[in-house]
Parts: sequence; structure tokens; C-alpha cells
Amino acid sequence: MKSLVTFFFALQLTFLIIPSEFGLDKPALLDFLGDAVTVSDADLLLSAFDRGAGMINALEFLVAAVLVSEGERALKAATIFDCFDFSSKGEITYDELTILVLCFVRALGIATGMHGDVDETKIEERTAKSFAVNKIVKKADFLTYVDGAELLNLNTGTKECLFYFGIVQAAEKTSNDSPSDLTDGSQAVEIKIREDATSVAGASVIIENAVNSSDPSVSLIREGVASVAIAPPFVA
Amino acid sequence: MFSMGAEISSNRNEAVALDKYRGGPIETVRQLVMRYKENDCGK
Repeated sequence: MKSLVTFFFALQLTFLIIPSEFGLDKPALLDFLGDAVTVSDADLLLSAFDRGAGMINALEFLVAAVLVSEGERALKAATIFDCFDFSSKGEITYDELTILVLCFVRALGIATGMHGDVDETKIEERTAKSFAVNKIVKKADFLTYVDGAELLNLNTGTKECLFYFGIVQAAEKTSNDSPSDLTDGSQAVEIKIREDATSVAGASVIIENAVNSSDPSVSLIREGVASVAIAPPFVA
Repeated sequence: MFSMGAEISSNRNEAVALDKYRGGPIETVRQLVMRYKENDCGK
């Protein structure tokens, strides 16, 4: 219970701190990233990471950049740890660790396009299993944890990792919350297409299998939905 | 009569934002981290 209180206090603190200390608005982001990015790049980053404050959490962005970069897993894990090791002493507090994990799962979700609702309680449960609450976390212990949990591997295990930390993706939430039958007698069908289809024909087959109807009107709808479903994402 | 709610992910837009760094060397990001810490960016 005490750890939960501590964690939520830390979270509250995070949200209070982030806008003033770790938050980068567009000018600050452009200044920070320098010539490497264009205004358009900065707009994309803001649209991906901004949660309504008109700025991004720099730590979240840095963790995401680490995740998508190429390098040995130990070096990537060490770099993430360094982001939160503000005193550069090779150690962080337990609260900083929970914030690190929170930033990690958010960054992982954005980097893979699989982000969802964050369950802070789950994150606290998981970190408390591996680290002593309210104790200092050494860099070596963190690296051992990352290695043992096989985190930071985007090629395999991303979904499992997000699930492990209690992240509920929008698609799962929608299908669980939506009724299968509407009050007017029509049928609502939730179909996950993007990850399974690379062509209109492929998407159409997926829909056909899900809908399971020979009605000609359904065929027309199916083709239309398939075209939309596999269309390239719109980027403003 | 059917009404279909196809699940179309909009999160891909977010993943695209990181393409600038996707597949790049970790050393580049480490330099960013160091710059962030040295300059207290955002403060």
C-alpha cells in the first residue's frame, strides 16, 4: 500500500514536473534537435508524443529514439537508464525507476504503433516484484533486469511486453466494450485488418471471413472498407 | 442489414514520427541524451 501511495505521488510529481522541466514545446524541440530535423519533423513528433499540453515529454521521446535505433541491447538499456540518472552516479531512485518504466512503455507503444491505455498500478506491481521499493536502483541491477525480462527487443515480444505492463490497446478495449448485436437487429463486426493485410484483396478476404455473408450488398461494403483499411496512414 | 466497424489503427502515424531515428546508430541518440542532460533542456 505504501509503495502504491509513493508511486502515485511520484506520478503526480511527474505530471507536475514534466510540463516545466522535461517538456519541450515546438521551438524548444527544434532548438534541441538542431539541424537534424525540419519543422515538419518536429510537427510529426509533437503529434505523436503530445498529450494535450502542446509539448512533448523529452524523456519519453529520448527513450523512444533509443528503442528504434540500432545498437546492442545492453548499450540501449544503459542509455535509457542514463536519461533518468540525473546525477550521473550510476543509480536512480525507485520512484525514478517507475517513471522510467512508465516512459518506456509509452515510448514502446508509440515506436511500434501499438500504444494503449497505461495501467500505472500494473507497472508498480511489476517493478515492485523486481526491485526493492523506496531503495536506490543501481545501473547494474537495471541492466540485469532488462536482460532477464528480455525487454528492449522490438523485433519480438513487443505485444507481450506491453501486456506484461498492463497496457490495454485501443483495439482490444473496443472489441471488449462493443456489443456484438445492435438494438436495430444489425450486426456490428470488429475486424483487425492492418497487421494482417497488405493489399485490398487480402483485407477483403479477412473481412469476408469475419462477416461470413453471401449478400451482394455486403461484397460492395467489403471492398470499400478494405480499400480504406489498407490505405497509407494520413499524415497531417 | 450489416453495419461494420472495421478496426483501423491510427497509431501508425505516431510510429512514422520516429522514422528519423529508426535504424540509426545508438551513438547518435546517446549524444542527444548527453546534450539534453548537459543543457538541462526544457528547464
